[in-house]
Amino acid sequence: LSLVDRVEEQLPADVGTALTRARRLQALTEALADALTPQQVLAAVIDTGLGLDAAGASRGLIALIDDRGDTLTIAASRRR
Amino acid sequence: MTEWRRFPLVDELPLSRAVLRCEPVFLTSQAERDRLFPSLRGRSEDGHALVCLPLVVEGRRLGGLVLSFADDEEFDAERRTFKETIARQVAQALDRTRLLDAERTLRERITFLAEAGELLRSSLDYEQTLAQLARHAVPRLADWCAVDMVGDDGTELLRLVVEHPDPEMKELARSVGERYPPRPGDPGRANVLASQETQFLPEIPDELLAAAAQDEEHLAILRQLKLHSAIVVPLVARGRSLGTLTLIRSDTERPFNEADLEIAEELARRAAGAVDQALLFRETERLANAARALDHVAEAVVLVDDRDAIRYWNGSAARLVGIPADAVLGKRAREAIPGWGELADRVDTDASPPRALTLPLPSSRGERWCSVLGVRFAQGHVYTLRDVTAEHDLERIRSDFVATASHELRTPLAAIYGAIRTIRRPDVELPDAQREAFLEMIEIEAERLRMIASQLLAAGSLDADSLSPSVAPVDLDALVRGVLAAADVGRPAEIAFTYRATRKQVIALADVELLRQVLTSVLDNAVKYSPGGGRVKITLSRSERRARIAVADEGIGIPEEAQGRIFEKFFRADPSLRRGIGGTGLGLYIARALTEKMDGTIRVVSSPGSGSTFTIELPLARARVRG
Repeated sequence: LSLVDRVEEQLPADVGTALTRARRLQALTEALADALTPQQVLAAVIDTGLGLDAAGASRGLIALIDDRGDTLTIAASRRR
Repeated sequence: MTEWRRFPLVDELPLSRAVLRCEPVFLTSQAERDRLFPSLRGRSEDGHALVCLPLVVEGRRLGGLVLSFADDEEFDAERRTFKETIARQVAQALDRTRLLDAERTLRERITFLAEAGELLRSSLDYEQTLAQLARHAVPRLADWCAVDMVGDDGTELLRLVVEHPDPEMKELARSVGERYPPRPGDPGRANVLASQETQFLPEIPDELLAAAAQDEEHLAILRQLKLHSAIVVPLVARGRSLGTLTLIRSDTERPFNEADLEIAEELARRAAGAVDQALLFRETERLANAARALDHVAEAVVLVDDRDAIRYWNGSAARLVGIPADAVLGKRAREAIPGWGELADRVDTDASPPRALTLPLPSSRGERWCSVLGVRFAQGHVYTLRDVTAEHDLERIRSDFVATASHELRTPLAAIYGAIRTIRRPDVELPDAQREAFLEMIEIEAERLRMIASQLLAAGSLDADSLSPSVAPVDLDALVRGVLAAADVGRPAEIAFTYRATRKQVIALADVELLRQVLTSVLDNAVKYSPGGGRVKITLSRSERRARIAVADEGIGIPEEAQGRIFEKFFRADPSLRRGIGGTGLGLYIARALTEKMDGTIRVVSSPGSGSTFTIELPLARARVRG
């Protein structure tokens, strides 16, 4: 185990949870920053599960408004 | 929820409500969801807690993020904020990448159009250029495309180009256009061509295919071609429909959008411009070739448009009328060409077949008679004019000749007939002197008839080119004296002949009988045109190589305008016989023709009112031998 992991093990549970959540958010933020296309954004949030992980969700989807603004179309979805 | 691919933006669905209201929806359990959204009761999966977050950037709704949880959850403020933070980040990333995408797409489209423009400018062979353009568009803009052009009849659409990555489908797309040409009133390319308006079908439902299909097989082919999204753009240049550009997308995931429509219309606009330019070039080249050819035809060709402006004026027209093309092109024909209005008014340009009319037209060389044909066409009238002035004059002279010859024959015949009737009257005993006078009259008039008959025969021989002179050395002094002696018999008292000859012997190479005829004719002419009497002076001379006989009278002379024409067949300076001078109009024509047959020349110098001098020149026998 790395030094950081060993320190984490010794942290109080709520602090550890918060840290984990922060790490997941950090990973999602980096993936979103690297994305160059909307498809890559969808992949980062849904396909790779980074967004779901960060939110602690078991499944999720992103739906986008079409050009006419009256319909939502599912662009990406995932069950963990 | 995932089995719903598309759903409306209404308040009755959790995600729709979140997006519609731009507010997150937190549902801690299925029970709460069923309570707040009763329409979903019984339709959900095995979910528990559910969070629906709007994806919004600067008030613009992009969509929504749904998070499902395996258990029921309580969402305190911190957890709600955290999830909203995730949604905000996702929305911002989506917005940023969409902008990047839009910029990239824009750049690609600009490049696409720039490259298309290059292609269209690369050649004036528009069939080849459009084929290249189609290859350029597939697959960058469409999954396959077709170009249909209006045929020569102006209505039929002919499939010029089909581009499809699959050769079998390409052939199918090509053949379907030929097998099932559009019917009048059909939607699609025929309608687009007629209305000059783009047809944009982001989605083509099967019912539309069924409606467009002409039979079951047609429908099967249309389905096979996977027509899922289409743009049909008219190719219009200067208001004229040239054809259509059809772009098809077969991928249901990638239907055409407004941006695609814009680029398709821009592409069609550029393609139509290129086609129009190529057609104009072809037409210009064709017209230039035609103009080059027409410039070398003998007939004058004049093209006048609907507004009476002269659009074409060939070299023969310029020569006929005496006005160069620069001076008339673009101008109104009736103002630029003297006499054009009268001419155009009389030519029936609608007659079929066209009828030629012979009409006068003023020109820089005086009045010209033209055989004129006129034909109307879509943009105006085209006229051809053939200069028939010579034929017209000849015809007029010929008709004058008939009148003159009739007169010339009737006069001696009447005299002879009258004299014979008088001599033979049983009730009158004529004194010998009077009887002798009548007989002399009969002899003179018979001689006149003989001369007319011989002139007509000579003219006929000259026309048939059957006269062959027997050229031999002729002593001209002896010949002139003989002719003068013969002429002296019938010489009017008021005319005096004088003759002067060079002391040197003048031997010419000539046919003695023909030359006698020529000299007799010239002498007779001198006497005839000296009605007031006077001297007729005959001079024989010679130069180093030529013999010369001049016959000068003091008669009425020849009007200036007639001097150049008196040797023409049937020409008479006084056709109306106003001066009472008879003749067939053949004497001088025969004289010149016979002289020329002997390698000689005859010319006249005249002053109206003072007389005329005819000069006959012949080659000297010595000169011919030496030469």
